[in-house]
Amino acid sequence: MIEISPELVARCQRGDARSFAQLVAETQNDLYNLSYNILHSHEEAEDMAQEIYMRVWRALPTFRGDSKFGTWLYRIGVNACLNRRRQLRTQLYIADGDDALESQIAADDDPATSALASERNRALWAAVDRLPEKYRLMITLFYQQQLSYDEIASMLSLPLGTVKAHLNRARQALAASLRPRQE
Amino acid sequence: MSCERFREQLAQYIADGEPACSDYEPLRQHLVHCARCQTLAKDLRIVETALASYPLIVAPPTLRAELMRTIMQERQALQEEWRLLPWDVWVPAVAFGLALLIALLSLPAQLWQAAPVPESPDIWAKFGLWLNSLRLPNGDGLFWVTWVGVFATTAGLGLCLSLTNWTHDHTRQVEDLEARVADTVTHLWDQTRRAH
Repeated sequence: MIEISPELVARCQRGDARSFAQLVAETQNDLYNLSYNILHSHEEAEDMAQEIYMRVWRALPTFRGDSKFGTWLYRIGVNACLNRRRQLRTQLYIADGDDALESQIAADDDPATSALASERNRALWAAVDRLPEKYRLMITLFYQQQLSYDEIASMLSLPLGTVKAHLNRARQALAASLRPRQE
Repeated sequence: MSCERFREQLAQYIADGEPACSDYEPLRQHLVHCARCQTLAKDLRIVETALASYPLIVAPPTLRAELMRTIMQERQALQEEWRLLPWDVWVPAVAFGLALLIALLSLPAQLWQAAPVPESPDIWAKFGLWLNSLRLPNGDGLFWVTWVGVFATTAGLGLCLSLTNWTHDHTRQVEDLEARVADTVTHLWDQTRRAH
């Protein structure tokens, strides 16, 4: 979960562009990642990330601190990306997603991880991309953005039970994707 | 409990880190005897481990620079355009002013006629005489008083309500407007001095 200091937020609210640039630097990977996982296109994700930050910049005076800043930011981001996804109304390819994972994997590669485990992890990450949108969004918010069940339920205006059910079905679907490889 | 029902619970059990709480005791008992569920549990553990290391995709390095350029351009554009007082302030303020003007023009004539006109009227006396010359017919004095009273009260209430909603953004707008007016007046004054 993104943690932004209240002092930084306050400076941004006073119109301090340099502070906002710092805020962007601290959150851009998370927000870009969220956009990419919903829209599945680097071009769309970059455009959407720009648009989300512009909305945040303009809406900063209205942020009253009732929720965490990260939650507020994600809420704007998720709503914007889902609206954009509805506009696009197409299944976007994941071809460039594999490239992105490759570059990220290269940075995080732990020599202690066996080749089989790495291969299996990549296959699972690719399987996440093939999940239905609502399950993929839950996986992104829970595992990558590290939001709690309650935070996800609040952000998406869903019952807690529904969030847990979606995540469990996503986990079961991913577990099922392992079996053909293991046979 | 059926195997299918346990499988639904199993994903949550593995995701929660296989806690020792009694809620999951029937599930743990089932896992001891069910090979299919043991296989599923093993797969779910693999899934959980992989998802815990699900990598973040790095944002393009140009994202922040382009964003800040756009913000600066927008800020520059905003500084160049005039921004009036918020409409929920100037509308009731203008309405209140109009009500006051109508009230002054509707004052009964005898209020002006009763006062003796000085031989050398000062500026206030001249103003009163001028108003007197403009006054509206006061045959329906009560009507006008009521009408203007209602008008002024409504406008005054609107102004009070808008001022209670005054925000930091409104303050900035007023400051921007003041700065813009001051710059314009200074500019015009300089132009006038240069012309002479």
